[in-house]
Amino acid sequence: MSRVSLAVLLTGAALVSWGAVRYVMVERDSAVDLMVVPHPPVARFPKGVQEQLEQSRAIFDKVLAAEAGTSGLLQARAYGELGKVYTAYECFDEAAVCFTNASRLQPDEFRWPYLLAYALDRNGTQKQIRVAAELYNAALGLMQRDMSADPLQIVAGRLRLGESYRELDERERAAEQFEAILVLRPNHSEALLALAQMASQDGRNQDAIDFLERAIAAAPTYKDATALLAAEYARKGDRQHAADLQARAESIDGRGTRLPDPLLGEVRAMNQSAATLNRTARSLVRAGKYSRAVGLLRQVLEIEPHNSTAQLNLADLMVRAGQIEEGHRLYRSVIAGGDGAELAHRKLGYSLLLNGQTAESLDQYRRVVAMAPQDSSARYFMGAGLSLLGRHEEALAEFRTVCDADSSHVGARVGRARMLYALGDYAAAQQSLEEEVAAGDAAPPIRMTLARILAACPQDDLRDGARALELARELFGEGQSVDGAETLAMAYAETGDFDRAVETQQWAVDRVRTARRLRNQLPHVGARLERYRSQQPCRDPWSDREQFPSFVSPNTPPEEKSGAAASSN
Amino acid sequence: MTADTTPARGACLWPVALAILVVAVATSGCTGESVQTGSDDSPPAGGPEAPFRDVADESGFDFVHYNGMSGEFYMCEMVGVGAALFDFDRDGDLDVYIPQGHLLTLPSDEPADETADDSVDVRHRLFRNDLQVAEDGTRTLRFTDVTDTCGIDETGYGMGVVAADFDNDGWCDLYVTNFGVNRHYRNNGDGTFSQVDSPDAVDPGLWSTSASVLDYDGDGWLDLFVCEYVRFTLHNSRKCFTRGGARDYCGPQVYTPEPDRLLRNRGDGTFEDVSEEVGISRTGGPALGVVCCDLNQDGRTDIYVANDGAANHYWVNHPDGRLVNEAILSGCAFSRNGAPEASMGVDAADFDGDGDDDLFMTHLQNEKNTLYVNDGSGLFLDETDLHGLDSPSRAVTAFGTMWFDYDNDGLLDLFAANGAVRMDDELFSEGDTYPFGQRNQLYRNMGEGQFADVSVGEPFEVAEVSRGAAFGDLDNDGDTDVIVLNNNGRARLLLNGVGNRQGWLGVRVTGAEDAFDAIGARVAIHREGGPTLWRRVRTDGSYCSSSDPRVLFGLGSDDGPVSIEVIWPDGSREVWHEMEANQYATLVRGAGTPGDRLTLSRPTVDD
Repeated sequence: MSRVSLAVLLTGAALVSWGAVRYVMVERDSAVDLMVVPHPPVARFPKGVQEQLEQSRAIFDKVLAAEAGTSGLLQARAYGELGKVYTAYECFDEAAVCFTNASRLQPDEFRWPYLLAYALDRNGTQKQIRVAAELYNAALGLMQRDMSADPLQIVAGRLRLGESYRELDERERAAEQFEAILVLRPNHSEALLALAQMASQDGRNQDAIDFLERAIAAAPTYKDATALLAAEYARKGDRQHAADLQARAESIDGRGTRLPDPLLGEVRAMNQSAATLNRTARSLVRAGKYSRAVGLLRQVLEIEPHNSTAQLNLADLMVRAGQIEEGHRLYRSVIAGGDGAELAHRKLGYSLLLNGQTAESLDQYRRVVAMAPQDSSARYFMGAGLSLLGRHEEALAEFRTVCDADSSHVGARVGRARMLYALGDYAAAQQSLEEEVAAGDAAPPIRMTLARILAACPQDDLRDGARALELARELFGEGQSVDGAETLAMAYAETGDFDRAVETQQWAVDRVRTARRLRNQLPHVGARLERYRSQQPCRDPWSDREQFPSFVSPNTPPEEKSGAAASSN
Repeated sequence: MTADTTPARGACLWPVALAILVVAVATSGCTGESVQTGSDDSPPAGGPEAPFRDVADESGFDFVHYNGMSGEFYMCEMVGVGAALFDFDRDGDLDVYIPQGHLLTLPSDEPADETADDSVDVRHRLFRNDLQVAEDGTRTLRFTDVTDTCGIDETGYGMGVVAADFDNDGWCDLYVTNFGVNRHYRNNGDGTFSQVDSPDAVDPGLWSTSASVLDYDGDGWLDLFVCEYVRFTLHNSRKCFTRGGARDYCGPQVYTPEPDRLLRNRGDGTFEDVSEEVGISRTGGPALGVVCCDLNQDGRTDIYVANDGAANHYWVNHPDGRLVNEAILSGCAFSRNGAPEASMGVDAADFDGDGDDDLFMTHLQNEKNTLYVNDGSGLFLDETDLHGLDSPSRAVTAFGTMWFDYDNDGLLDLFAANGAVRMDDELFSEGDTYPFGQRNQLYRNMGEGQFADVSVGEPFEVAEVSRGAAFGDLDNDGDTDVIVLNNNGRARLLLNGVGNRQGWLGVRVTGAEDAFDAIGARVAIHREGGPTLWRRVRTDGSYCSSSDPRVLFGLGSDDGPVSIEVIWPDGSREVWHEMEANQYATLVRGAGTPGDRLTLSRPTVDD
């Protein structure tokens, strides 16, 4: 046989073989044992979600019908995509069937065993958790051979596998996973935290501390790690350091950082229910992404026009952006709808108060108090409103009620003293504050109010310049503010040290001049400076413009308020 | 099924084969059935004997809880009730008090204590135990509903109850927590109760849950710690949803948590609110469970509070009378990962025999229950995964729980009363009108600190919405029985049928003849060649419940006699020697031998 003939023969044989292989593949794929995917129970889901699920299912059925007898790749993806939608809505049993089939059709694709593991792991029994661990392991094996696998996905996979091993008390295997993460990401907070906790269980206190210190260095707002580190320092015997860390942990809002799971993120994005969109919007607000949050909330209201959570959240954002009327309209919609009405009354009341619509604000808070008579917060704001309207007796009654019910309410205690002062009962005002200070650990506003009375009260026998100076110095050292500076200046003047009074008051004047939102204070701040220059002490702790509470300034022009709000958006 | 489909990319076949293999394993359990509720790891049929059986029907223990649900998904409908086991008539057996719910309506609608169905009696119930013991030792458990004659006409939306002698007259009183105003009932000693008001502790009408008694100031009068949950009212009720958008019950994060309250006994059975004085009034937490015991072994009773979805509180009792929260520093505020957990039920006991009390808490589905092991100084480590208690608990939501030795082998076991708080859509679609049912669990202490799920028998096969669980020897046969309270369902009386086959010794520990039990005392059994068993005299733990104050020791194959050491709340000690096993004994203060810590050698006859 000639070489050409041999080549043709071999090529033909190769082609035939290849065809045979493909034939075998097709035949074998079509023989893959697949389960029927049940329909999830969706009767309780809102109409929009039911429609989304039905549409997803319809697309899936179409693809399956069109792809019957083919290589199975498209079928695998169809199962996978349907599984993802089911996972997004927590239909885990049905999702598990989808991913099982997808895995059988496309065994080299890491996503399917990974998502199957997730579906089993959620609410799973011990047996399911074990299987999930094996699946995560298999998925990781496939990821490491897949150029398209996101490194973040590998990290997320190892973390989940590590946690699964921990749940199964397979500590060595768990530690291997967390350590493998650190090879890729040396400062992966969650891996470090897991290793820290395992070290702590083993009695390796210093190792635990080292791991946690690294985790917090990488993520300073990692509340969980900070709390655990506090416990480890306590275990070590360093109570002071532990207490500092405890305080820090308690001051952190939220949980701290979380590294992403791209695949699960993709799945979660498929959830278009109003509830999930609301949650996502809330996260966006916390992250300061207000305009995206507004977009999502509007989307929710398209799906569910009377969704009170979306209305409230959107109202908050509108008010923040200076669109006060729109915000108030949304609050009133919630009130009319009933669900969330109490909260809407509060928010509307507060917004009205800030905008100088004090009488309307009072009306809102009265409704809250009618619904919840024990509620200290609402009564406090009622008192605030009454104070701004000059109805000091009524305000005093509200502040007293709050003080009796809630020993932690600083505002009410200050308000009580301020109202007593406004009614001319200077001694009672001072006495109430002295009792707070004597009880120890009085909050700065309480000490500030007392300092002012001691420095500038018109009743001679109540003034005590030395004591006022001591308090004012302490407060100014804790945090320099215009309020603090003015109080300090009053105290200096009362003790006869007018040079220092002038210097300190000048500091206050300079601050007020440069801060747009404080400019309305310039008249009385300037007037006090002139008094001190004339060697005259102050005999009026609070001018007419310094009403209580100070967070509401009725003299601030609306455009300035809305401008300040808009700049924070 | 193909095992060798040629992958196009030339990857190794074995991980693919493994993947398919495990998929096959996985799918054998994924046939579209609803998520297992805890017992797919149960032993096969023909295996271990069922330790408990439900005798509620045959004993006349007829109670059905009514949560008053009306489609509004009010949060309080979901949390259920507890129960108190106490001997109100001092006839030597445990009676039962159970709070009840009612229809929840806003004041503008029907009055709150009326129901749509007039046949539902919304009063709390008192069941008298009329145990009969025949000459041959056969025991017949019978309960009689004596609500009509006991003087308690309580119709508040009930949550929990504490039974204790608040006025030191030897008769056990009640403090009932409600969603609303709590009530204090004094036992008149004649089968009736009278309501008591404490002008210095006016109840603010919040949402109270569990409560516990303790003598926090050591004055010999029992004080009360009351858990307050969240600032939820029917007016501020919010709508909450699942991720799928289906309506569901809200979690505690939606509402403001309330600070708990400490009510000091004024020495006459009434109380004054000292919450601000001791320093707990400024720290709120959605509290559901509480235990009071000396966790740091400094001689003063501390308070551990299980907060739902928030950091737990560990109030350390300081010599100056202040309570300081040291949960974070002590490692018992959060889970092992530093995250807050649901925390419904809680109990404290020395499960590992090292002389200090360890903590066990129950949580939500997809969280594990948590075991905090005490290092003896009040520092804790989450060691749940080291003791086999992690993964078996993840498939269920658990509430009531307790450390108790169900089989009397001397090792403390665990019971968990399970029931979901989120709807199971699968059950709903199958026509279940209250689709929250899950199976309860029993964890046996296998020794070496390891636990196994041994939930065998009919009581563990039925899926109900269990919440409170109260523990005690209802038939006085030497083993611990369990009353399980099901939310909007029938209460179960699980009679223990195995514990008394092993050696046991039960003791009542009292400060004086005819006095109530000495809450806060610690009791130890010492035996030659056997480990010392430490327990404490208490009624608290679990969820919203008050359990048998007697201390029941399992002795295993040991038939005694043993020595018992009591450390009284004031720190003094007494011992009783030569205590025979398989009996209940009363240890009255002063009747034992005072002394230092007991040595292990048994005293000879000549001593």
